[in-house]
Amino acid sequence: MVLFWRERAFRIRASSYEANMRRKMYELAILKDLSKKMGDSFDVERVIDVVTGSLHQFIEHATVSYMLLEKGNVSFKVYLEESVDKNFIFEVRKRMKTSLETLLDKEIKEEEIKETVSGAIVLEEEKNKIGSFFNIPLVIDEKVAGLLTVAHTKEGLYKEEDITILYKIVAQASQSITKLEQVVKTEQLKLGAIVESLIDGVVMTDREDRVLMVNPAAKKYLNLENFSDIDFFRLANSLGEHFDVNTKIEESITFDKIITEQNVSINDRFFQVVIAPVKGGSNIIHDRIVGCVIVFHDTTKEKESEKLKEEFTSLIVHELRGPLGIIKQVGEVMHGESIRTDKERYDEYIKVIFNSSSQMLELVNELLDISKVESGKFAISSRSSKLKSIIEGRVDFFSTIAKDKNIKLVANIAENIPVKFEFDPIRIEQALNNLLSNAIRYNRSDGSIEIQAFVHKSGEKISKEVEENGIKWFVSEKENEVFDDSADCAVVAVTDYGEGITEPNLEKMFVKFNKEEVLANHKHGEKSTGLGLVIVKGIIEAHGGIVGVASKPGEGSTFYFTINI
Amino acid sequence: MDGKEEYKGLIEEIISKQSLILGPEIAIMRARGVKNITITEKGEVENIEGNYKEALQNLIDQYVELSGQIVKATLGSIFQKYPNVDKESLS
Repeated sequence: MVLFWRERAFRIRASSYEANMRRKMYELAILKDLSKKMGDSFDVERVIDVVTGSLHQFIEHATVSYMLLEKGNVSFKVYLEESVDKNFIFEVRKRMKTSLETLLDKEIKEEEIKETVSGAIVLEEEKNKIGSFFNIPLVIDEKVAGLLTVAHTKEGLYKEEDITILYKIVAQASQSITKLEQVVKTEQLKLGAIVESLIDGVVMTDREDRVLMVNPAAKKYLNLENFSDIDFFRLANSLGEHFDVNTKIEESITFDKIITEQNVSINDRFFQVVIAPVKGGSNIIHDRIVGCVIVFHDTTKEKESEKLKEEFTSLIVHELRGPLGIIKQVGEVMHGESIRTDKERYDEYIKVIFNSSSQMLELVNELLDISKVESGKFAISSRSSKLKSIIEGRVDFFSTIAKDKNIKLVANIAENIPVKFEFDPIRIEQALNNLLSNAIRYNRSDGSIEIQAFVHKSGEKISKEVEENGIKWFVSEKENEVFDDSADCAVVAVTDYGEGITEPNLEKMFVKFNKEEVLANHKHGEKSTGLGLVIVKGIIEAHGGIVGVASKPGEGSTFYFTINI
Repeated sequence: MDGKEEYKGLIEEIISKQSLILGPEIAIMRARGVKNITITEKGEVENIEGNYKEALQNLIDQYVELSGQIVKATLGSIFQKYPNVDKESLS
């Protein structure tokens, strides 16, 4: 008798151990399966399919079903592992609906439920009743996403341990989805912030031509800043008649291709417009086109610069063709016999050839200098040189031209300028030539120009030094800050009392292809290339100095540079 | 209604609501696993012993362990009917 009870107790323990092992094995197998099949998917239905697909290995059931909340409706899918009647399915549906309504605390209308039945045959005769069932709520990111239900006709079938394992599996899968969704949300926030701050305009539409997003730059370019709600018609209207956005989007989506349109004119500006299909969905490995993104890249400046380059090239060609034409004509005349005997005319023609070729050489040298500045190969040859002598020499040289225009040209050189210090005298002379010729060109008749030079000591306030040396220039107190970090240096400035330069043009003074300077030159009847100041900048920067300009429109300007002592 | 009766009513309502959500079998199985609460096969509370508040907390913990924090969100409306019962269990 004792032996019988011992054997019975052993059998019970063994059976319990076996059941536990079976549950554990199922749990491990299904979790492995989930991690393999889920991959980077956060599609709840996909996860539920994995769980329900292998359920028969672990738990006896007649039906396994799920309800998922979708946009505006509820998807109800029931898989019949065994044949049951319609009433059984109806009862499962009813109980699931009640459960979901209780969870959501709101009513679900019958017409919102989209039912799909698969698996074994549905029996016609009514003979089944639900004997056992349990629901597992599907919760993603603390929100109810649906419900999973296992049911059978047999009563008292499910043990707490079995049900608990299924809850555990679903909870783990839900946590994985939640984590993935949170990663996606974070990335979306980051992406949203990037798109918001982009200089390029970005518009996103879905497949139904709904405008999903318009970033601030796009609103600005399309004059939509005053609209909070932008629909497709408003978007299309803002693009005008020149750009058929509807057709382009359709083409991009239909043929799955990126369309790039150059030089699209919108509200007096030029844009490169790129239209690209957007792929995605809940699972990024599905290459489903979900909409379209339109990017507006403002190319107005590039287009203006391109135009200016063309104008510049044409100007250079013109500048070279003029003296070349003269040389050719003079050459033809000098080819004749008579000119050789007329010494006076001969000398005059030789002078014309010399002047024309000098003019061309000067231009070619300017172009070569610019090329060296741009390639960083601008070399200087510093040696101990006299700044004062160079300034005085330049005053002498330009006095005649200044006098012709009734302009007074003077030098104001402070006594503290060293007699000699290291710099490239030829290049500094070239820089002064460029500044002085500009100052004369843009000065008014009866005006005056002053070449100023004084020493700036490191750490000293330049405004104080200017005052001490009796210098009057247009560099304001605020602009003086550029000298704050400067080492001991000689400051050389050319101050004119001409038209002055407006604030926006000041920034462009030392820039190649400066439209304003070219236009100003033309206004003054000069055919200057506007390269002079760019070369000055190159020369001074090669000396390790600073170069700048300050002005009061209508009163005059000061161009200055420094040479370290 | 004295304290015990109030707790009995509240616990019965919780089990009843969880029966709708999870199904009666698992909802009652879980409730019957709570120490100090005697539950019938139909989910009725026969008796509560010891600290009622602790017993209620243990019951809620049983359901939270099974289906997560969402359980607490569904119980708010029931607690409103029992103003004398501390709502700490829901926090």
